[in-house]
Amino acid sequence: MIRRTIFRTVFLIFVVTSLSTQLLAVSETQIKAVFLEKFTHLIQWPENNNSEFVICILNDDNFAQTLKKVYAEKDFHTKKVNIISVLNPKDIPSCNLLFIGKNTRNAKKITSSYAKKPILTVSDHKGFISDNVMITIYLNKKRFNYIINNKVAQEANVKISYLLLKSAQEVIK
Amino acid sequence: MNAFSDFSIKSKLIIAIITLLFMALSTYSAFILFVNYQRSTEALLSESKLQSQLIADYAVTPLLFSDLSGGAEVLNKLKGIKNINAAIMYDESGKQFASFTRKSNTKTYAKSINKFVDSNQFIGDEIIISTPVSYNGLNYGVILFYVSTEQIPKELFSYAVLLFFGIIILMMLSFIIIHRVQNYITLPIINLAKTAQEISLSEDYAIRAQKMYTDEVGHLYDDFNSMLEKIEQRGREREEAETISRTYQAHLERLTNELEERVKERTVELQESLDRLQSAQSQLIESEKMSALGNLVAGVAHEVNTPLGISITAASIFKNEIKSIQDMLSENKLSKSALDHFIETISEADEILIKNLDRAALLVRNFKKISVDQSSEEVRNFELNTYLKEVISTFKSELKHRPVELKLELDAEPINMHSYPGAISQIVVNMLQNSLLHGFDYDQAGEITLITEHKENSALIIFCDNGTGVDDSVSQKIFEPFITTKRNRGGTGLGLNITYNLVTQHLGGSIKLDQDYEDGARFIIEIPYNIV
Repeated sequence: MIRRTIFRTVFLIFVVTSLSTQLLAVSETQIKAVFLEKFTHLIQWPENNNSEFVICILNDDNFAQTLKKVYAEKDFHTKKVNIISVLNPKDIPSCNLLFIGKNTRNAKKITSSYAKKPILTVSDHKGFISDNVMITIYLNKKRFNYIINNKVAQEANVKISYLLLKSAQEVIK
Repeated sequence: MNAFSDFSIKSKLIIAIITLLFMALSTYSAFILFVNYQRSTEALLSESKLQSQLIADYAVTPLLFSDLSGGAEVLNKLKGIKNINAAIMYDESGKQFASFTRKSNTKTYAKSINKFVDSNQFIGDEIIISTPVSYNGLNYGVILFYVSTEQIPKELFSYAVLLFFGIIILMMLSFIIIHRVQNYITLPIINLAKTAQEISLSEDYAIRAQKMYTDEVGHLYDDFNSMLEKIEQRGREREEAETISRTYQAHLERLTNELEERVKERTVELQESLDRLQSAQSQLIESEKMSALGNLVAGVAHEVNTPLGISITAASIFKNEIKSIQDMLSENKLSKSALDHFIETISEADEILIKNLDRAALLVRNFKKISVDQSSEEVRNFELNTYLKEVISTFKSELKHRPVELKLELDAEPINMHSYPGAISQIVVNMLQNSLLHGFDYDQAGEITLITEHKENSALIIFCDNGTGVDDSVSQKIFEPFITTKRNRGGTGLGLNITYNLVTQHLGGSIKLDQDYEDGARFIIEIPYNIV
């Protein structure tokens, strides 16, 4: 029931956002949170024995809080989802998904440090795609788009579904 | 069917092959159309399912991200596929998410559904294909495809038209080929039939059928010609036989005519001989009758003579005694004892006289009666046993000088007859005379037995003797005229023949010689009680 309510809420948000994201600046975070959750449906990580799915948020506490609400009653497949705000980059290796906030200055350095590790890197800064972030979400003409750097993802052994690839605004191979 | 039977072999062959070809092609076409229909339906279903799955794949992202315009965009890809009437995308809650409906389609579709199964069903002229939208085991919604099947019958119809014209062209080609090829089959048969007809009309069996090929019909020609040869041969033989027959027939007719002439001549001669013979027979019969009557008269005369002689003696005794008593009376010497002697003598003489005169009178009466019976042919009532005794009484003189005893074994019951007594008396006399003449020598002792018995509707009179019997050579024709073994000793050969005629023709009875009787001769006569 709650799930349906959230879905409806998200759906409404999505529709309204599509009409005018400018008017609903606060809801943009929520939409990005939902997007992130949806991305995980279409991405495969290498098999591991971890009991939980760890999502790390770097430099965006607000997004971390919003995402926690989105995952409040959701699991990642059979694993529980653990959302943590990362302050120390040393904690990053234990993450399965790393959201790099747009305020992060040394994104390329971070991505380079953990290149070829199966950590999906996502950012809401379009320009980070050139810093080897795997997916960047951005707003374009009142509509959310995303760019995928599949080359980096493939090197990290993270498989992005063709469904996600074909819906992307741009795919770097 | 009868009309078809009267068609020529050529027409029958063509019709049969064309009909067979048409039926085969039609059946094959129907089968092809059916298979095509099945394949078209399966292909449409398979193609539509593939399209549905592709669209479902495309729909994952719009449904996942609740992208309405993306969903509509995905469904709009179906515009180019004309047989899809509509496609409706439902989200995971079952609510309509996006839809595509062709402009010409005015149908309305469900706003929500509650089934997310992978299925397909045929409803009317549509196939409804339900394809779940899922990824990695997670279900995001369902897409319903409404695929039109109208195209299939249209395609099939076009195909059927094509097949129909194909069949028509094929049949026309077949007709031309069959028309040409059938000559190889029918022409020899037609020629053979014409030859047979020509032979039938002209009756000329020298004609021969000209063989065209060496196939089965060719063999038929050979057999037909062989048959004609045999018929011709038989015809020649028959003509020869007829010529011979005609010659023989003419000869036979000539012989027959000659024979007929001879027969006529002989018949006239025979008729004359027969007339003479019948005349002689009548004379002989008459003389036989007269002879029998003479014998009867002689016998009766002899019989009457005895009592009359005794009567004369008795009368002379009367005369002597009366004279003696008259003399005694005139001399007054009549004594009582003399008178007593006279009375006693007279009484005895009287008694003898009366007795013998009565006997003579009886004999005369019997003779009269029998002679009347023999000379007349009247029917009357009489008792057979009594009558036979009377007849025998007139015959005793015949036996008197012979050592042959006549025994009567007459039935105890009276045998009443209504018949010709004269004929019976003549039969009895003839049979007794026959026995005496043929059965015994003159001095030979013997016995003749006359037996009478009752039968159902007739009386039996059996004559048997213990004489010499009848020789086998004679027994078979004993009743034929002029058969006798004593022709030079008084036999005329007519006695038994007359008896036979009297019994069979006059009295309506039967007479036979008992062939099994070995002690002499035994004749069995059966006479109806009442003459018809």
